[in-house]
Amino acid sequence: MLTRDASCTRDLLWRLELPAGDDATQLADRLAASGWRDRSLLPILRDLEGPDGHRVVIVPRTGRVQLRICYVVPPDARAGAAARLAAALSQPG
Amino acid sequence: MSKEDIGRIALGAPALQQVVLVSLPDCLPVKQWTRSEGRDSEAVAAHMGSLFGQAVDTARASAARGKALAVTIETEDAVLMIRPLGPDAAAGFVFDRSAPMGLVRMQARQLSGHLANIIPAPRESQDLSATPERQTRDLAPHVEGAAETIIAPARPSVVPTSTPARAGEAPKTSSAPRPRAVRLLEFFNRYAPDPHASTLRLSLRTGIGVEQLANPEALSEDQVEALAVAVRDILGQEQLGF
Amino acid sequence: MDKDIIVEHRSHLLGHGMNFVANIPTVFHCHHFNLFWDQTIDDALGHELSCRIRTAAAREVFHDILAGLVTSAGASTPEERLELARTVFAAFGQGALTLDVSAAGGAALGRPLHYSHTWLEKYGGWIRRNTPADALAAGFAAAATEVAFGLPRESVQAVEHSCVARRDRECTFELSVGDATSVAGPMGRLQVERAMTDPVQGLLEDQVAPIEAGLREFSRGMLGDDRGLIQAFGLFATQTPSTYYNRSGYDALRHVNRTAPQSAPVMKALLREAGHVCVFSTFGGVLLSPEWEAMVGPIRGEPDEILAGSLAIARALGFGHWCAGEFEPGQRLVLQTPGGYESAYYVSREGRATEPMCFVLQGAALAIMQLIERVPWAERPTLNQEFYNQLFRNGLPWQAEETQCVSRGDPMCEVVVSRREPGNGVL
Repeated sequence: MLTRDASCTRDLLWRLELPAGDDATQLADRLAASGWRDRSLLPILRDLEGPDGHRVVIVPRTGRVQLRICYVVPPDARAGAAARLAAALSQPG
Repeated sequence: MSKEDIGRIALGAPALQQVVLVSLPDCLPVKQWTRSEGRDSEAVAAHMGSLFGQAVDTARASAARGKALAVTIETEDAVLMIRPLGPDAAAGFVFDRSAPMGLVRMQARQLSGHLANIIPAPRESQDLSATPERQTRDLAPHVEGAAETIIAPARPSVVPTSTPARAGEAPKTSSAPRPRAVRLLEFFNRYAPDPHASTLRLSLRTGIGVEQLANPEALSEDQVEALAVAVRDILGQEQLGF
Repeated sequence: MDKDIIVEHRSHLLGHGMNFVANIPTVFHCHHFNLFWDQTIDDALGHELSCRIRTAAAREVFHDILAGLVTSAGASTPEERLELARTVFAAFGQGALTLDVSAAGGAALGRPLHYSHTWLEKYGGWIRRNTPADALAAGFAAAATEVAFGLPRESVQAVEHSCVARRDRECTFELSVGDATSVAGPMGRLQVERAMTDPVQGLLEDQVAPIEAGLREFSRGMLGDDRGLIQAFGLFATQTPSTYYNRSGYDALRHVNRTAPQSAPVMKALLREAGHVCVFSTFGGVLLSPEWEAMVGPIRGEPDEILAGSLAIARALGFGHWCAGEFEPGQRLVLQTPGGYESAYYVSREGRATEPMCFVLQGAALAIMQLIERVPWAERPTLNQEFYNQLFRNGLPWQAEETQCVSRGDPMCEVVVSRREPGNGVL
């Protein structure tokens, strides 16, 4: 499920609830393996940037997944971009 | 008026890519609809209002008679047509360039008629604190289709009061003609960014005390003119529709 | 040139909560604060004079930073120095700036730039802007030209001609070389250390200290992305030399005191509001962020937790070593610090004040009480403009008074937040 995350302004931040049983750490590993750039500053927080500039920020200890839509996307298009990104992340490995 | 309302109207015009509504004469953006997400409709809205106003002024200066019906701009890949929706609003339509001009004119005219029937009245009740975040709805991942941003500035819910309408206050009604300063401050408080700081900002810009601004009917003509300049500067408007 | 050069030159004055780059004091601020601060100076002085003052403030302090960095990086040619400048600007989250300059001046081009981009983000949906927004970038471009070609400090003028915030396609600047104007004295680590008083201790220290350490480690690596902006905590952040804010703010206030003294209290109230919006938005955003959740855990919303978190954030981001002298939830908060970035500047540049001068600190203390009392943390609130506006609907229930100020010669800066007395207005 995708909802606007706390502190979201102008559709830039989205919270993605992974389906039960899905592991957030595995998602981070999968993105890194598929070429997403690892921008993590600390091991306790995974921060991965995709080819479109969108970022997926993952808190392994709580399973929180935040999508950060690239700010160059016009405001009108951000919700759609978040939806497409969430759908792509939900595809199996 | 909802996204679905505009989307339904746009169904019969497949070449139509964008609809942008602005208020008149202040030319502030009211509502936008885009068929696809690649376009920055805020930028279109920001330019469109003043473009229409300038076109009308130009027509007047050229001694053209009759009311303005449309402004048309053709580019290599699009046609922009702006049409008034009555005294309070105008609509801009962006069509694919491939659409025949006759069809563009006809559909813009028809769409204007539909929109004029459903556009909110200038004093339609809205939450004074409305912001883009509040007025857009959460979208689940499965939501597809046209994107919409509602960027309606806050508007008063009833006839404005004799004191500046503050967010969250229930304005009082009055039948007496209201001084220009009162109407000016009401207008400003509808559109002001950072509404909690708007009185302080006007005070700092004009040198008029905060206490004086609480009683605008007592302001001198010079003070009102200084206020009008400050409001224009803060809102980035060349003219004010109040 | 790698942005890591900034990380290497970041330092911290422990016990005083002050951050430096190349020994020049810096602070992380959000776009809400940045826009409001510049806007207040525009309101006070009009755009033209405001723009001149803000550009000069940026030019002065970025000259000092760049001069320090080119020396330590061994950048000797103008090309190397300009490349370093471009890297520094982006690392600070100020945006992407291209400099096409010589010893005789030239042009600069920016897109995106922090100020104009975030102005459009925040306000572009319903109002317009007719004046350029990027005085800081203009000052930076001037400083970079000075340093690249060995020109005297404060000798290059920069004017922004087109601006994205005005819906122009890009931001463009014209740079010209003239005579050096008033050369301000140094404002570096030495001056900050001299201006600080003895460290103070406060409540909840066992909670604050470890969070502060974690946040400081995290923020040391916080840099602009490939486009030169820092998108974090639900907002856009910058690392900015605090002299930019201090010089522009105090110069503007001095001008108002001289030309329209009746407006000085209004300007001070707006400077306080800048501090309020800063802490409410930035600190609130940090507390709700995945970064916080990873370092500290999900926020629960208990008063001590929010207070300790706010103090730690302030220290890590470079506001000062904020401590809670007293705290009674909903009733009273006493915020104390052995000086901050405002008093350090004031003491060094302006001399002895006759009244408290830490306006950001005053607004910040009030905002901490708001964060503690008025945010429903468990509901994962969206701290957006609408939420913020609602805080003011029926007036604020508290007031803040700076009862001690290092700028006035007091042993610390202290702000007391208490229940608002009936009849007390915004000034």
